Amino acid sequence: MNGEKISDAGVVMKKSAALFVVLVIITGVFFSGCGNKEEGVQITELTAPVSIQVWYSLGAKYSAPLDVIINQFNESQSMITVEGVYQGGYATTQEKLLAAYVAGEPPVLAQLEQSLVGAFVANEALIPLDSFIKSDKDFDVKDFNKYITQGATYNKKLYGLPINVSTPVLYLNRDLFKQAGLDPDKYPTTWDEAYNIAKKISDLGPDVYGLRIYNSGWIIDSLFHQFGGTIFDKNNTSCLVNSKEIKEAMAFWQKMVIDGVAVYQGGKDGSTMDASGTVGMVMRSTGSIAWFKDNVTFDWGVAPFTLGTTKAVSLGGGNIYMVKKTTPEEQFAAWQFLKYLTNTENQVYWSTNTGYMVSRKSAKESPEIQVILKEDPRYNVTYDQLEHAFARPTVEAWPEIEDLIQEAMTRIILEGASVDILDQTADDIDEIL
Amino acid sequence: MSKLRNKQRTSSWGMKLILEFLLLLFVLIVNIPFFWMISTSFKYAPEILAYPPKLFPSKLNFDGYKYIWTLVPFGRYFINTLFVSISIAVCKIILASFSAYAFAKIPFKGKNTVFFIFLGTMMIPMEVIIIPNYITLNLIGWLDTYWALIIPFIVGAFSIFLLRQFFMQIPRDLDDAAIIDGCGRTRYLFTIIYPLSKPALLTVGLYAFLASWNSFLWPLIVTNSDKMRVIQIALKALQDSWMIDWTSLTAASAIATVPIIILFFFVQKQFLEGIAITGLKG
Amino acid sequence: MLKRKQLDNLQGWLFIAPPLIIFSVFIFIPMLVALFISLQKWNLLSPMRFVGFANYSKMFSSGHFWNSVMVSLLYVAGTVPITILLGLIIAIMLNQGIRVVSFYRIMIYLPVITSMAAAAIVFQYLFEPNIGLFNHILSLFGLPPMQWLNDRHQALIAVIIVGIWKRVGYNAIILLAGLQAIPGYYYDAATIDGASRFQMVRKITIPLLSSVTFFVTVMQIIASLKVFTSIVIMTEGGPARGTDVLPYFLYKNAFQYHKMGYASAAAIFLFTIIFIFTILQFKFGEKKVHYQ
Repeated sequence: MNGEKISDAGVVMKKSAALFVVLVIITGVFFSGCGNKEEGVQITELTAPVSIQVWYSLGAKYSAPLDVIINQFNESQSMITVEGVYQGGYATTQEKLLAAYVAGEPPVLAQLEQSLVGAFVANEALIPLDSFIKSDKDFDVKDFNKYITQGATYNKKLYGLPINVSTPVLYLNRDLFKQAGLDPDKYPTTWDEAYNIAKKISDLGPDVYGLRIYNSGWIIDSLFHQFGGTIFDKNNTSCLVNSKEIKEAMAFWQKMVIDGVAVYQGGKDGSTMDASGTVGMVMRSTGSIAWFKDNVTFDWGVAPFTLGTTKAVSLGGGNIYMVKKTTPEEQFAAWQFLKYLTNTENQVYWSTNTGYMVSRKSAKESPEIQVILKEDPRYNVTYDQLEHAFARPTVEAWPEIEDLIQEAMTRIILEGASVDILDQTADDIDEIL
Repeated sequence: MSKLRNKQRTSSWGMKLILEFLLLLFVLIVNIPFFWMISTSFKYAPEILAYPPKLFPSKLNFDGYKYIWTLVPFGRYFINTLFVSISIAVCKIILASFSAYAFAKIPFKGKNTVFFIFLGTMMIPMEVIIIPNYITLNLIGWLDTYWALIIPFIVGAFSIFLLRQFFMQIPRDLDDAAIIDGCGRTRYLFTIIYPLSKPALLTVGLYAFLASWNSFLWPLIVTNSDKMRVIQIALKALQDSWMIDWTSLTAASAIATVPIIILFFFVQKQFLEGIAITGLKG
Repeated sequence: MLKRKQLDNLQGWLFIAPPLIIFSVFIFIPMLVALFISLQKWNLLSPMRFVGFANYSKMFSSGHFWNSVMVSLLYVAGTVPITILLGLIIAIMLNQGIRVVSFYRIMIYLPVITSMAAAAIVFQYLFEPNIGLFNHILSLFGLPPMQWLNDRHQALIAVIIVGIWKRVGYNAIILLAGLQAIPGYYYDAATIDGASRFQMVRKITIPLLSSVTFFVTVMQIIASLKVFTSIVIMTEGGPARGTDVLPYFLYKNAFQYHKMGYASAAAIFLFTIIFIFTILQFKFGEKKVHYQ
């Protein structure tokens, strides 16, 4: 592999006047070896066509707009060919990326869910974009909403650009609200209000519930924050899952389920219940707006999910990151595509076709988006609550830790265990950290 | 292979009818998932999510199948799986027959020891060796290639075992006659033994094809890219999202399953008999 | 010109060379490598670190590990007896001289040849608590709906049901062959001696079927210990580790938690258990019952 790169550089040397850049490349390749491309070592132009892959976790209808953007990019120029590959869900994509990286053949771009990035960052498998941004005059990183990009920032370096970042919002079954004699425009602003609303709705019938809760990482994290607690301390060195605040949060949810006011689903996919018309409120990603439009027959609304004494919602979704063990040509091509993908026009296109948020201010101000927001204010909710958004955990062992927390939660909520089992959970997690 | 058909004689006519009825009932219950898979694959989403569930879709929805064949390149996965499975089946037949022939007919030193070692491979579950194999494949650069999907499976202890049992039934007189005629071993294998062993060879090939078509863990770990994906992994990828599209998912499942079932109907006699043999010999 | 014996040796080894090589590369050597990795700490991204038996001691003192062992044992206990018994009953029924036996044989074997991934997807839908068929059937009988895959205990029951469904046909076919292999004159002689149907089953069928039954049982146990695909598709080990069988525990630790060494230790443990059962099969399976 080393030999190929050096002969490529040799060809460039004959043709290009950018001798200095080439010398940098050769030196870089020589001294960093095959597996460790230097951060930000760049070329300024491509002299030969290059093809790159971008791996993503968007399935079903969400991949179509991305494919359109990819095709447009490919057709707009002839040096770079981008191939988009669907790898499965977030966890599967992360597994595949790990496997490919270890094998030395990773794609140069991959969409990763924000909480699964920790291991890659810790082991220096990703390339920070700062040097690309600095040297690229066309790219205005300030145009990006800082609340959104905080989810791709680690140790003050920006590693990825947002693609399907979202926040959880509260979906309301307005029909059920009205049936229960509630004003569907009066959404809850505290958990106690949520409890009361849920109670009135669940009183409507034995199979009707006011709220659906489930064990998804970012929802739980939001809950904890809203009660004033956090899973880790500031330096991610110790686990605070057994703090008073979090125990209170779990106990509250436990009460809601025991009182029959909320329903808890421990299994893999509970979304079918949301379409059945038996759930009054459910917090889901703003990206689910499209799903609701397709599958739901009752009148529904969207409300902020900023309940609790502390207003907080977790960021969610994925960013696209650049991966090491790739050639400078691939990285250059990857940067070009990243710029294209996240430019204002494409962000608008993406958002209008999927319902996910735009991350550029210029995109949000664009007439198309403004029209949508005016026509359907449900899309606005996620933007309004952005200032309360916090980033997902970045610890390396998050998958294992998340499993532990979810297991405790299922025990507490479904099996009535005492919230004190969180003490054991905290100990277990501390061991891992 | 002689089979002594044993029927317990005291079953009365009425008894038989009851048994047939019960068996039919059992068959119907066992096949519920298949009915449901096909019917769901033709339903529209609201009908799938509705309750109570109805067996037949009120309007036929072909979007699932359209989506699978066009947007998800299921055709590619189908061909991948077909190619890999047929390659494995053919290789297994040939290589296993050579080994089985050696074990059955050739007296060579260390024969029994090697045979037991071969049988031992059936004990080792895939999960145990999947990680080291991943590393090996990575080292030799076979990850995410057809090689990784095919080569490790071109031999199998089960196939060798099955064929050995069968070959051992071929009378020694035939072997001796061939030796007297000066017929080489390989030629003997192909010209005499193969025609005599068609059912067994077919069983081995079918069994290998089936195992490969349905294999899951191995392709999951050793392939990444879209162009190497096989059907079972494609199923998992489709199922993997947080909002399941049941129509296309069941359509994909149907495409993954129905060809096998159709193939099975054509070859079931030999196949089932082959399976039965293994059980009897323990 | 080689002597006969030399030619035999040469050809014999030549013929078995391909399997020998491939088995060595892809089975035997990986076994040793797995053993080696189980003594290391390795997350794929950084270099390996030798830790001796630390992985094993951590494993044996881990609640999650023993939970997986327990879940696997429960799964075996749930699938094996029922699958064998049901298979036996079906086999006996099929052996009563009913018409079109081959039709039934084919139909009950269909689950066996179906891909587990496809089946698990369909079962996921059937088990759905709100819109699934199974709860609907329960309601037709006046029974309350079950949570199935949403509940820690019921999820295990659900995967057990899928496991039984998948293998009943296989057991039935083999047991049927075993039944048909019992020479008819045993029954004839017994009838002449005036034995009742029940006595015949007890004294003839069951003993003569014993080695086949043993074979089928051990195969079933091993298959149940290796269950993986249905777990991956339907439950991902959950909820709350209720279906976290050993193979899945292994997979999760290796490919999601990136604890290769630890996962390899679990793999070695799994192998040991399966190995023991297979040895048992070889030792005791050869016993056959003969009557004069």
